[in-house]
Amino acid sequence: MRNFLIGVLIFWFIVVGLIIRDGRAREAESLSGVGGDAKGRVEVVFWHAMGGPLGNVMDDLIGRFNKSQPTYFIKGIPMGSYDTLAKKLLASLVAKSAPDIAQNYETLTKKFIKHKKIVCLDALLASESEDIKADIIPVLLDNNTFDGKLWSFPFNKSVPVLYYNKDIFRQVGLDPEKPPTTLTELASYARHITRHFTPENGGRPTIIGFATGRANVWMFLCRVMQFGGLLVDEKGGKSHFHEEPAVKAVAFIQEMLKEGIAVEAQGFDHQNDFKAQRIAMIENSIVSKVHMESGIKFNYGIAPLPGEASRAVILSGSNINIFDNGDPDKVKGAWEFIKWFTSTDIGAEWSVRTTYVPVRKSSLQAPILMEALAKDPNLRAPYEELEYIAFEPRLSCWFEVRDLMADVLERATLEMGDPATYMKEMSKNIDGILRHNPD
Amino acid sequence: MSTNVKKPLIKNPSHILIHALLIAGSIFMIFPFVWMIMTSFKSEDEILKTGKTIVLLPDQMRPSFLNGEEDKKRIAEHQRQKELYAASLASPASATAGGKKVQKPFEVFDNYKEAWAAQPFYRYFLNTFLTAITITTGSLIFASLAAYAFAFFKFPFKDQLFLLMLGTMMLPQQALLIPDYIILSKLHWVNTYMALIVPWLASAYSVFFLRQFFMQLPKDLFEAAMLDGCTRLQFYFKICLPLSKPPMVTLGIFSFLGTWNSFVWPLIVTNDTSLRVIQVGLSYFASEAGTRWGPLMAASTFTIVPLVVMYFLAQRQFVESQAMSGMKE
Repeated sequence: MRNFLIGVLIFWFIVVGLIIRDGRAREAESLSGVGGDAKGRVEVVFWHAMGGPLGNVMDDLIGRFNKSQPTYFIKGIPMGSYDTLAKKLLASLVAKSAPDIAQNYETLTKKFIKHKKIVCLDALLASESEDIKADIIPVLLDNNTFDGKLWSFPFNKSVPVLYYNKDIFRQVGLDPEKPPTTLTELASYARHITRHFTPENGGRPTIIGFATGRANVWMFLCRVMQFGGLLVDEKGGKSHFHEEPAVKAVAFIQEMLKEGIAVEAQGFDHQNDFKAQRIAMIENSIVSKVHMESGIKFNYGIAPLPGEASRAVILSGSNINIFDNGDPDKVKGAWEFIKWFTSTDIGAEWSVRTTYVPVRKSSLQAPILMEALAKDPNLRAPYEELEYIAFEPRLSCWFEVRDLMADVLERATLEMGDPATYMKEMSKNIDGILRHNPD
Repeated sequence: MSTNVKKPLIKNPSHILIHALLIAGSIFMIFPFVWMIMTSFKSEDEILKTGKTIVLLPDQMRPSFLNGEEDKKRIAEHQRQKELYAASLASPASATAGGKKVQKPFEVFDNYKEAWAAQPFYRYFLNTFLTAITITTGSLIFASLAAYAFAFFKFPFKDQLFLLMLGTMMLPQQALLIPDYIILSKLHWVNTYMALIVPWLASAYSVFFLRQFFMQLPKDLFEAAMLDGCTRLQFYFKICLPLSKPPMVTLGIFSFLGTWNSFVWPLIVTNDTSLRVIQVGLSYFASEAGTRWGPLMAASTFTIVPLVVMYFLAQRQFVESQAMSGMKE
């Protein structure tokens, strides 16, 4: 036992020694590293939730901003998921140790406005010679405007799209350049594909037509709008999920599941099934492209989500807030960075490399984006969807509502009961939440 | 032990059933680990597209007679790519086949290389070791001292204090996250090793656990020692601790494992990469739009190696101390 303890102690000292050594090495490295260091500059702390390949692009751009000018230094700190980022933001605001900028959803922005934690961007915009507001894609501007004022800046907004396997389309006699444009078409394509791959003597099909995520609120909301429905009134606190379009949205998936021409996957599993060519079409965020494309060994296409009564998709992703930490220099630095990051050319580059929607209209005409589109037509879908994009209600209780919806949706496809009953229940319960949280 | 007495292989027929259950149980427990290790040696292609045969073994380790149709196709494709790549290396002119650059074919350790390079895991390991060892030893010292006091001494409000301490166990960790963060922030400890270590040095559960054990030690032992002129601290060090090796080792393992696996706390209280721990590093491979299984499993594998080593080392202590507790009182 004594030897064991002595061993542990020695090991502890070795670890401490190595940490000190590693610390010195890092210091030396950062002095000569990319983007220089913060010495003599205004340091602006930026908390974000970009990991993996997206994080690499983010780091690259932050490094370039730091090199591009001598006054400000952006310190990007990845926080894992949006969820942990939100938690940490709330804690740090109470503890008065908030970052200078952070990625954030609209619902929290609302809370921050109420508690006067963030800087209104209108004054910053007014100080610019260029009319930036006029160049922001209108829906993104609306998404970040609260009571007529711009409180957050659109930053990394994504849209859902339809991924489809062109090789399978060809194999079953469908035109690979003509993806389904309506939900009815989607179902009939899925049926056609599934039947083609069902063995003659019965048994399981080797390839299934369509897949989506289980209890995926985002896709459900898109479908409600595609069937011509409304979601929740932002003012007035009433939900529309008991109405026909929402019932149709649930029935649509239920019927496909019952028929066996679609499957529901947990989390992102359908993405893997698509890559493995077990599923011919999936709906998912355009950002998944960045994660999926490295392993795809077949020809695939990306198309705007099919509509029905009308085309409609809903924005996802986050915006950026500037926190009011009482230092005008930091606010200025934060604004400079946001301006640079979303500028015509950088915004276009960010969009091409991550598939997030650019913030500015002029980015859509930027050479780098045009070039990328020419090279990879699959990048086109999100830009086409820009015409009819919408966003989710920005209610402070929205996350609670979303949880409730996920719950009902999950039951609807597990139990396969009457869709109208589920929707009536959903609507009633949401109205209950809205009554207690009117904004 | 005499060598010429033949032991029957099975002493009691009911043992067969017990063993069968235990074996089934261990296969059940081991399977995720085997899957993890096997996946770490597979290319993404292979992970997603397993043939109909043995799914576990990676292509490059599986005997060929186990391969299904799909597996054979994939292996042939991989072989072709290897040759293409070798050719492209030999003559740079052929490096672009059909306008596309020839991709490097997957090799067995690629996931490990990718994972190790993706994040500063070396530093993460050091940080995790530092916090885990400090927390484990620290919490054992504090918990055993507190438990010793609760078990052997009489002092005012003893029961109330003990209940109060137990009460802290009832609060879920999530509820404490934000208040804890605020306290740390007031102490200016956010983004320091202090934040990673100090809040975990005391644990109500450990105190409770050890107190229950100490209560079982004969009171006579304590009184006899006191009569012989032993001080309270001497009794703690010379008699109490040596007798409680099993619970101490058990708690040690718990607290080491707990620290090794903690994720949300270190993520929330640190900002710099140089302070982050391995679980935070692992989360890099799982993002909002998908998980990179190969590198994630490779990283998970090298993450648990120290745990396994630690467990074996501690297990010996565990067995040793149990053997000693068989002494006559």
